[in-house]
Amino acid sequence: MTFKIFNKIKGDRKYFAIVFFILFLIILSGIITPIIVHNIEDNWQTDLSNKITDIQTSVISILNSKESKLLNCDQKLREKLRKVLNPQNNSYGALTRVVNSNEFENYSIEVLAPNGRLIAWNTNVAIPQNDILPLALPAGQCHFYQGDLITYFTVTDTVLSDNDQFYYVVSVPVEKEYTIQNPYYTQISFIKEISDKFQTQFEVGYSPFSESTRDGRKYSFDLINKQGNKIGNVTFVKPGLDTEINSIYQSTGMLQSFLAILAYIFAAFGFRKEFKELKYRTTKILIFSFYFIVFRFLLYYVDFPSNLLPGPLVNPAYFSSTFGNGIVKSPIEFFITALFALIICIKGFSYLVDYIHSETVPKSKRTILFAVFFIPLTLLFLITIRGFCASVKSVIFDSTIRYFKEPNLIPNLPSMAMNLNLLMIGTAILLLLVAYILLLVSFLHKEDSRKMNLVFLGLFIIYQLLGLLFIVYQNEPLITPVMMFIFIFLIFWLALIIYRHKQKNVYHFVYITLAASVISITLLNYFNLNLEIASLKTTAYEINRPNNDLLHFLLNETLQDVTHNEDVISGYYDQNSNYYTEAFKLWAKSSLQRESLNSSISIWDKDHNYLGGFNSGIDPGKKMLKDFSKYNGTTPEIIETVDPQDSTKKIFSGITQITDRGITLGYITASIGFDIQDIGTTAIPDFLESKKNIINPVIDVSRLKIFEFTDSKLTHVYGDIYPSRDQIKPILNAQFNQDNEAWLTVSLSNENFYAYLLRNNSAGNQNITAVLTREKRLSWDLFNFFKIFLIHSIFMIFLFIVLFAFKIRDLKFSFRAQLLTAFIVISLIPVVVLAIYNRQTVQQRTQTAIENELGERLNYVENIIKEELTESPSHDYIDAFNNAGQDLGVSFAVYEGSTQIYNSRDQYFKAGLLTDKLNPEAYYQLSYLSYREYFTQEKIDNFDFDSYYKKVTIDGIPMIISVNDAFNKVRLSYSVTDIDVFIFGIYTFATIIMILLSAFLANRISLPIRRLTKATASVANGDFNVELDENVKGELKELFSSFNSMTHELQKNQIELAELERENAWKEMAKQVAHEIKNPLTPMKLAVQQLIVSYHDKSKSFDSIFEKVSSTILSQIENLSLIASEFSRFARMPNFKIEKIDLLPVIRDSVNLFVHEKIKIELNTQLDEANIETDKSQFRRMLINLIRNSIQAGADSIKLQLVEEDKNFILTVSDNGSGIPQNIKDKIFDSNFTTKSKGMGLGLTLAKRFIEGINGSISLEESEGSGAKFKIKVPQCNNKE
Amino acid sequence: MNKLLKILILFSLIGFLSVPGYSSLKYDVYDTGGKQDQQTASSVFKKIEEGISSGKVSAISNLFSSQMYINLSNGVNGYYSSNQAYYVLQRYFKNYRVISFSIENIHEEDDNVIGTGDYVYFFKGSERKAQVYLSLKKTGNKWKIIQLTID
Repeated sequence: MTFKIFNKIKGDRKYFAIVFFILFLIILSGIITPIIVHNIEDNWQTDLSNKITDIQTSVISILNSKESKLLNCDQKLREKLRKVLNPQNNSYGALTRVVNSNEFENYSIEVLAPNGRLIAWNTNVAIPQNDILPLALPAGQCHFYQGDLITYFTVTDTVLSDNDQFYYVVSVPVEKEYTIQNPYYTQISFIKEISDKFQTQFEVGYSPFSESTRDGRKYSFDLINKQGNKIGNVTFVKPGLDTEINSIYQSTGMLQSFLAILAYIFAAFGFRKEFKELKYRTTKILIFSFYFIVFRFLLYYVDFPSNLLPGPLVNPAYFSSTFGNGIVKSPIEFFITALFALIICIKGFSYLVDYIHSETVPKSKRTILFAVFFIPLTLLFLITIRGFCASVKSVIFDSTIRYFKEPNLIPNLPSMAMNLNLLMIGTAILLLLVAYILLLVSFLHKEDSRKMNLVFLGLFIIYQLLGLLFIVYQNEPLITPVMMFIFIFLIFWLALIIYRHKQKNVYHFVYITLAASVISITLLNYFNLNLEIASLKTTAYEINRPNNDLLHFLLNETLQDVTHNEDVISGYYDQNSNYYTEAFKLWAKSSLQRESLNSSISIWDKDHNYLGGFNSGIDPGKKMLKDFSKYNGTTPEIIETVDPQDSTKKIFSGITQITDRGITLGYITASIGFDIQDIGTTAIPDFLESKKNIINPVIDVSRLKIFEFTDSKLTHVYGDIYPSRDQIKPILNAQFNQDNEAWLTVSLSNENFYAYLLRNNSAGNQNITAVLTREKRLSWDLFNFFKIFLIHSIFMIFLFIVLFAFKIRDLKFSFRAQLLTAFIVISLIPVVVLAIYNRQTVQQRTQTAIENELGERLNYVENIIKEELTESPSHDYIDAFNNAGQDLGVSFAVYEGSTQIYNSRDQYFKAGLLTDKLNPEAYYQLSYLSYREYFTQEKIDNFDFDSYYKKVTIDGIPMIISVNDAFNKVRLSYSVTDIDVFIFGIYTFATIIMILLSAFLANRISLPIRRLTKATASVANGDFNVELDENVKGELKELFSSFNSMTHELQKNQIELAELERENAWKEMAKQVAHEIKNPLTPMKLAVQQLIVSYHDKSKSFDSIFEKVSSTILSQIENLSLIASEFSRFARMPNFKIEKIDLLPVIRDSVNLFVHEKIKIELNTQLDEANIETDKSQFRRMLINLIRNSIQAGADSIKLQLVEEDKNFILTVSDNGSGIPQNIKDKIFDSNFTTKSKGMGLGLTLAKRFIEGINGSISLEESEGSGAKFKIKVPQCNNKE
Repeated sequence: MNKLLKILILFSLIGFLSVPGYSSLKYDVYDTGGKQDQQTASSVFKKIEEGISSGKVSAISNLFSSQMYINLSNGVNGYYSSNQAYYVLQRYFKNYRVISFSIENIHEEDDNVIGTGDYVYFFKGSERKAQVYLSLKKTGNKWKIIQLTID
């Protein structure tokens, strides 16, 4: 039964069956969901118990997996250590290499000698040496180690070497106790991992002493290692019924959305056949476009893929526009919209190009069509340009991606996606714009190519003028006249190339994509400049934003958060608490970090003793609690004070009391300050910097000049220019709009500046903030251009590969493809080698420059320290380090052995952000190999920096000093990324040009071969009249000449052979006829002779003889008639090989044979298919014959038109040749009639006989002008299959 | 002729339907539009309260300034255009489902008004509370949100 049903669902039915099945599933899911929900409600207690068990099992399973990985690493390391610690192979270098090998880069490795001394470590030192021994658990057992800032999953194990027991520790981070909102921070959190997975709130106690919760809303279980020892405790909020029900409805909704999309796709497959059978391409294109537009809105309606995909591509913070009610609300939605637009535009464009190349608008209608459509098409053209500009403006203004400031050569995913979107939308728009021009040009079609060029030129000039007018008459033009000129030029150039090329070509799309890239990057650059100007306003707001209220709010928020922070409370009870770390964690978690304001957090005990703190930019000092002498401790108190380091600056400070069960444990204070001078010069290093400052800035703040006025008096100045009274007059006299803002240009120090002024009233005073930047003219910024062009190139090269992949069959065999490949390979090899070489050279030089700079910095530090010690011999060397650190402001560290004894940025080490162990490789190089200096690159999370180490002797003690550029950046004219952009940008541009040039040359070189191939194919099809143009040089001329001679000779031989054959045939036939006729003639002669004798003898039996003879003669005459019929049948046309064929490819193939001859052949049809039953080769031969006749009649244009009429197809072949004289029109289908000097005159006769043989007809029609017009009518094929 | 007309219709349709940007032909970064009658700051805060309480960004989107500072507990932090702000907040309200939202204190000073309050929301099975800081600025006769912090 089932088999029978499946048998019935064949062909397109299966798609509809799938669609109905999907619709059934959608309905079913709608019906089932409430039942499931009801069921869950009824059995919630049992379900909850199962769910809790599931969560517990899954969490344990996740932890077990981590444990297995850690133990696996432990095993591998042990094997390697056993070898390198063997006394026979004893080499510290080998030990360092093993510990620092890439295999263990994600782990922290520490190796201890049998006496417990740390002898080897890698760059991630997890556990301080003193905390390793004695072992927390027996060797080989995994457990957690809670560092100051990071909790590790760790295992300590032993390895025996020559009876010596070495210890080693392998640790992997599982929980970072702090979060920094910036791109350099890598989040590691087991809690987040399981919270996200199970969609409930988790807490993990990473200690064997962690206790289970007593809160009934939560559930706790212990974490046990493989040896059965408790190592931690997990607590999570029990899943709620409401959450569960919401989750089910949400899942059902997503499933239904997904099913609806599938149904829509399968429905399209179901209608594939009907779609193919549509006769008119226009209808097809409209349906195709409609399908994709509806598809797009369906995806939007079901919120797909935004509701499924995680990650930055669906994040509107990167890009979102309100266009189309949200169809471009995120980078991925923009991608889908742009992709669909591109697909529709490609399809429409292909259709237009086909139309232009196959049909010519009738002369009589050209003028009227042009007159009617010129204005609407031109308006559409200009509006489309403006639409594109608006789109690119949105890409810049509605995005936080700073396309030209990406730190890496290959940008991150959202930026990459937006670049692709830009290219796609640019290509789609350019296809439209070129299509408009092609359409207009087709109304002005001229046969003469020179006249056609003039048409293009004329339209080009008109469009340039209109483009200029369009800009002038707009209130807010989005494009400059120069850019408009370039765009129109490019569009017309592309239109000209495509119009001239007789066939549709995939390279056209490559040209358009390339032009789209250039145009879109130019616009991107232009709007980025606008954004930079607009960012003056943002800067003014940013300056005015941190008012007293905001600072008060931020402090209050921070202090309220810390008041109830359980970690803070438990920290007071822990004697080993690192309060510097605690303060840093509080700071990192608060808005103080995210706002990038100068701020600090300090922790105090109940007796007002300072315990620790973290500060960036301001340090309110250890006496600040005096300011809070009246604090009563109920709620946070905030006061305004003065910065002890700079009495001109005011700061806000707040305090909160930390209590536990009514007992005061201590106090936490926070301070925050804002000063105009602090803009853009934050005191904290990049790896702790706010995301706001790293990602958002449009403009380099250090380039700005900022003036603040209160009641017309200049109160603050930021930047290196102090304006004179005259210079500030335009600012004070500026005309402010109703929003209290003004834009103007100001002249300072003989330079023009754009200025944005913001006026506001505060406390009865009128304040004006003026933000200025140097006027920058729009320039072709090569750096910016290549930065984006490089990304576009990747997509374009991918497009090349796709296009070639589609034409892979041609590539395998075609001479042109072989040439193209050879050219590309030959040209690319040196380019790639050169690019790599240049890149390496530049990179080396950059590294050398950084190394030199850091080396000089280190020498400077060394000299200052030594000078300090020489000048003040009584000073301790630590004092000398301190003085040098304060005087120089340079970040440096000093090591004795492998342990740090001083760091000028002490707080980052106290906070636990950096290890106090010397870089292991530096230690090996300087201490073991006795090198004097060592330069290396290091990392903090994703932040890369350079370090320089040097062995020195201070106070007779060997030490190592290090400097780095993590805190004090080395300024280079060009970064490695800048150089990369230039090198790869230029070389990629060169590569694309080479590919295009190679394609052009390969095409040109292979053209004669392709012409020869076509001509040979014509000869193979029986067309001996084919002739190659000998207007070529060298061997090819000889080849073409020989070919032409060969075809002439073949033609001559064919005629002679045909005549000879005809003569022989006639002779043979005559002989056969004579022989066959003779046979009946003999009995007839004998019979007649017998009759004559009988008559002369007056025989009595004359009557009977007469009858007999008559009968014989009649019988023989009948024989003669039969013989005649037999011969007639013998002389008939040979049998046709009838089959069902599509006429269109046959016609196109035949036309293609003449593509290299000086004749324009156009095929005009709206049909996609024209199925008839005929002999394919005969039909092609007939058509070639008709075309050849036209050429021989002097025609240079032949038009073929195929239409459908009353179940017949009508093919008309008309030319502009000399035509057929009236007096011979009736004879042209007669056999042996010809007007040509050569040929037998059988062509049209045979054509007529053939067409009639397939139940069709051929006739000569009255042509409109000169030339001939044949009408061929053939019946359609009835059999659809 | 018929075919030409079809082609023209086709390209006009493609042009108008498939190319983003037409709605923003008049892209104005400094004015996000939206009609707003003369309102007091407290009534604007009331409107914001109602809008956020219902989780509907559209109810308050006409109050967004062209470049708005947003600082949210999910890590969103910085200046966003009004277009972006719409979807950034929509996404936030979707993921951090509001239970209640109230402005507790309002501090007015000339053209600037500050409001602080609480945003109670539901996240990962539990109810949580964030503090809210809202800053409005009067531009012309309209109040615009120039900063929204939910942290």
